[in-house]
Amino acid sequence: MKMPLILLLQLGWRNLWRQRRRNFMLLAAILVAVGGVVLINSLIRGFQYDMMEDAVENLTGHVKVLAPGYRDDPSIVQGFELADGWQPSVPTAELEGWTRRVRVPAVVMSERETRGLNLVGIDPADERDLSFLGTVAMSGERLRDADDSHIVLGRELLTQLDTKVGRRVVVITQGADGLNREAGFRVIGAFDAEGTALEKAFAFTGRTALQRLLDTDAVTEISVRLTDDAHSAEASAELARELPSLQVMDWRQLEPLAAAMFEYSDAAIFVWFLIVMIALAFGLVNTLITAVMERVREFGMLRAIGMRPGQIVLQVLVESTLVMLLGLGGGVVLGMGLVAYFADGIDLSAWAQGVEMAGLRSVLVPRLMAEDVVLVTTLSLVLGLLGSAYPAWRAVSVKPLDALRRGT
Amino acid sequence: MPTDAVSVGHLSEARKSPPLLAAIAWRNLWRNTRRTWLTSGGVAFAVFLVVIARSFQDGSFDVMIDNATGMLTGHAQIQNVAFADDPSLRNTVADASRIARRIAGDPNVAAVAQRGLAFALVSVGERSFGAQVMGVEPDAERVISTLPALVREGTYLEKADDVVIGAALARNLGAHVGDEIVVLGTAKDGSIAAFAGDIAGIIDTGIAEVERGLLQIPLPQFQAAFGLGDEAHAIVVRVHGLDAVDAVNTDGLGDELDYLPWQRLMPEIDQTVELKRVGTRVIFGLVTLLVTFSVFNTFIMLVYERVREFGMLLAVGMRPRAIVAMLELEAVWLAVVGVGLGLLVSTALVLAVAQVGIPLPDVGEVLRQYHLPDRIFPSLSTSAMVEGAVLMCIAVPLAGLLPALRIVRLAPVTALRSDA
Amino acid sequence: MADDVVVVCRQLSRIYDDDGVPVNALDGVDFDVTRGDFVSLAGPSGSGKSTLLNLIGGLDEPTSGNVVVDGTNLADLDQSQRSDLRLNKIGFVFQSYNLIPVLTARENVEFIMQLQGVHAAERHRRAIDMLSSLGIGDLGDRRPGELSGGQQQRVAVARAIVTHPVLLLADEPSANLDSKTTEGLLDLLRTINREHGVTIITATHDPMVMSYARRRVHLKDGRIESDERAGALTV
Repeated sequence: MKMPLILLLQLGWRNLWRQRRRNFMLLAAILVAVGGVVLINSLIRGFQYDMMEDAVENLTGHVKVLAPGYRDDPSIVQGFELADGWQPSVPTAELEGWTRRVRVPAVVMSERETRGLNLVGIDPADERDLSFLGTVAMSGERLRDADDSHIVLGRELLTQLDTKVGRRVVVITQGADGLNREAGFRVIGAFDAEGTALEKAFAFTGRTALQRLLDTDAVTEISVRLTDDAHSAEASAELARELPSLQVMDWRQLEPLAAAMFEYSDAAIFVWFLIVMIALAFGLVNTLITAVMERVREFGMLRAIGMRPGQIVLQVLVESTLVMLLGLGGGVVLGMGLVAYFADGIDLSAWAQGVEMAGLRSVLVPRLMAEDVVLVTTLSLVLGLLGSAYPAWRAVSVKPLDALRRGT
Repeated sequence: MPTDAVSVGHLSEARKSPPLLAAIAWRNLWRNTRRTWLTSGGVAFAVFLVVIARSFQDGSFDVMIDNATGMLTGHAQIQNVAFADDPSLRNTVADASRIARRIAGDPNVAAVAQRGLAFALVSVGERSFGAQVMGVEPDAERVISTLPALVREGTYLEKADDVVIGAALARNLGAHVGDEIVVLGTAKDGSIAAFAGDIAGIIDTGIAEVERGLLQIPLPQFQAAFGLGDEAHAIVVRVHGLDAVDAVNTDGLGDELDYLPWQRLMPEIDQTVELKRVGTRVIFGLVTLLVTFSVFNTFIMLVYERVREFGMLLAVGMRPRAIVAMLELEAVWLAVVGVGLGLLVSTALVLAVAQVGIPLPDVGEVLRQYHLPDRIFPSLSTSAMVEGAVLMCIAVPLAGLLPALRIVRLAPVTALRSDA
Repeated sequence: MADDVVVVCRQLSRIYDDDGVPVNALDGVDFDVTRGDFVSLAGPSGSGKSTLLNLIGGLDEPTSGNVVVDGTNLADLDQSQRSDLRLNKIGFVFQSYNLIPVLTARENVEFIMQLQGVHAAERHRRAIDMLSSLGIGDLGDRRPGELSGGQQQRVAVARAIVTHPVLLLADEPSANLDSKTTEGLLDLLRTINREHGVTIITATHDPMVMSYARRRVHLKDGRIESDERAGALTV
């Protein structure tokens, strides 16, 4: 004999309205907890993916191919040549874009100052969808093509060199033969990466122009951007097969700091969820127990007229699950509302340098992920069931006899 | 019910005697032991959370600040006012040695070192790289910075033509201890600055970013090469304890010079600390809100169950306000129990963990990059203890007040008839 | 003959533990009830009448001895099976708190049928019929809180007999009622007993309830003191 679920739901629903004030407060608590967790999750996710994107966009790409010795000795001597018409053997559907670059350390001198940085020879058309160069704010002009022999510097570096767009700078760097080259470049543009370290670390010119200066046909890196980070491992393996003499690294190896923070964020989401839910659990269990204890006589009577112990347990569980579901539904809506409210991002520029050190952007935009909502919902329900286990046990361990006596 | 008897028996005194009311409230609290523990458990959890989080943060922040300032920057620096915005060779501290001696005389100051800073091209054989050349006083550096202790090969600066360089720079230059190294740059007067020396030692900090452009030579040689007199770019100060950094007497530095404590030298460290504190506050706020809801609910239930008792108390002449006061006292007790429990458990845990520390998993350079040690030792945050306790002792009675105020509108007759 | 005996109790004892002091609530009672009878169990507080009633209903377990209800030995059943026995064969009426507060009178009557799995239409019809036959057909949509004590007891009786139980157990059914309402309730029980042939056992110390019973059993200190037919008193 099964208890019809519809009857349980009906009883549960009506019992919910017996203690409106109390259940309203419980609902409000669940609402705040779930809404808060959803917002916090989204903020952490926002941080996490900003960081990954920044790591990938900082000329890293999802996967990079280098000569084995380049990381220790980042010079053109550690370059490699690619066959004409070479293409990475990554399925087109997974490939966002790719490029080859020449990246060498160089010293840049203005009339007054000297600074060290990385000079990067790029194919400007390739970079558009690949790195921060595609989206970064510029004053002056961008590089026209790979043959463009002008130079683009960071805004901060321009200030430090005490020069400006239109002036010339002298670049000293090591050629393919190991000897130093010295050449003048005209600055045609300055990029503004919001004061980040990028502005001081990189200068850009055309790839073939730089190769001419260095007397080489070699490049120092291939950078591949994928449509989704999930393809990184597969693409790395494919490239390693294709270019066995070179070193293939994904962004996690190239940017261990960002990768560690990425992992840490996954854990942080879980820890915050747990903390908030534990705080909620005290109130939840408290209310559920009271809801059972004050109905001891009712449960006794139900037992006496023939309801099975299992059905009593089920009834208590259904009631608490109903409250939980209501709170969860509302909480998820509240959380989504908060995420929408903060859709323009939370301004963290008051802590600009700390933000940069933590790998954050100065505006933190929350990122709501369906799988997080599902996870929060499922875990909350499990927690709700765990929280009602004790009250349910209390309800069923009531002896009908004692319960009914209590009324006399 | 025996407890009713307690409340009634002392009623006349209770009207004017708060201590007795408090005693009654205390006994009432333990009529429903399970509920009291669950509610105060929530309060305890909130207090526990804030004390633990802040103690661990404070513990790691202290070390983070120590590590960050200890490597190179120091607790404070005296610089030319223009240097922060424009770190160029010409923005110097004139009369550097005199000012250094004066500051060293301050009782708050533990050590002082002068430094010259310039960017230059560094060559070994055919290879050249750009580097930040630093002119230093070797003996002072040994006290003020951890770099001299991080020499992996060779020795720190001893002779006039000694040079020490960072391990990454050495790798890039293909340089070894004993190799000749040439520094070429622009002197203060615009002429060419040149210095040739031998590599005495290689410094390995583990932070590629720092050591890629690191090169130190003795200060007199630096001043001679770059055309400086008794000038430096920074006078680095180490104080006795971080708090003393603001106590240093900086009168008479003049308009040309600026005294910069570490918060201004490394704003990223200060702001990271602030940012994490804000994060903790947000979570603690959310948890406090949830605990408040829980207390609110407890009082709704408590008032509902005891309506008959309150009706009886009203009937025998107790004023509604006295009953509300009694309930509020129960809330205060609840907060006291919760706060006490939370403080006890968190303090015990912090003190126990402080003995051994908690190892942090190191991933690559992450910890060093953040200036974190490989093991953190929490330091009990008394400010968090006070904050948590005060907040809870306000929030809990406040949450209990609204349900308790229903008593004022309660008519004794209906209350007595209520089937609660 | 066995068919005509609904309840068989043999050497029934129940010893409670009252703070370490054993209390003999029932002390070796033999007690049978024939089908269609109307029995009142009487006696002072602590005489064992409620204990006997609860043992017959399977709400309590004997320390020793046997209870057989409608051919089933309760000792052979686990908790759930005893629940099912109560659901299908026994109706209960208590002195108070009989009804599920969140359900209307009609829904309360339907509740047991719902547990039994009776179809909605059938359930509905039977509940309405039952309520009107007990004279409270117009109260079907009210919740227990909106009913008087007597009306609540009528709904409880309706719920107890709507599934045609073999046995109706009533524990102090008149305890919270005035004498006029009690009379109405007892008339109702008598009608049920006569017209539907439902066996009724009540535990009571209300003389009015006893006067309606065909058989009066007096208990004292856990033993049956007297057991008499009251043919003369029944009309």
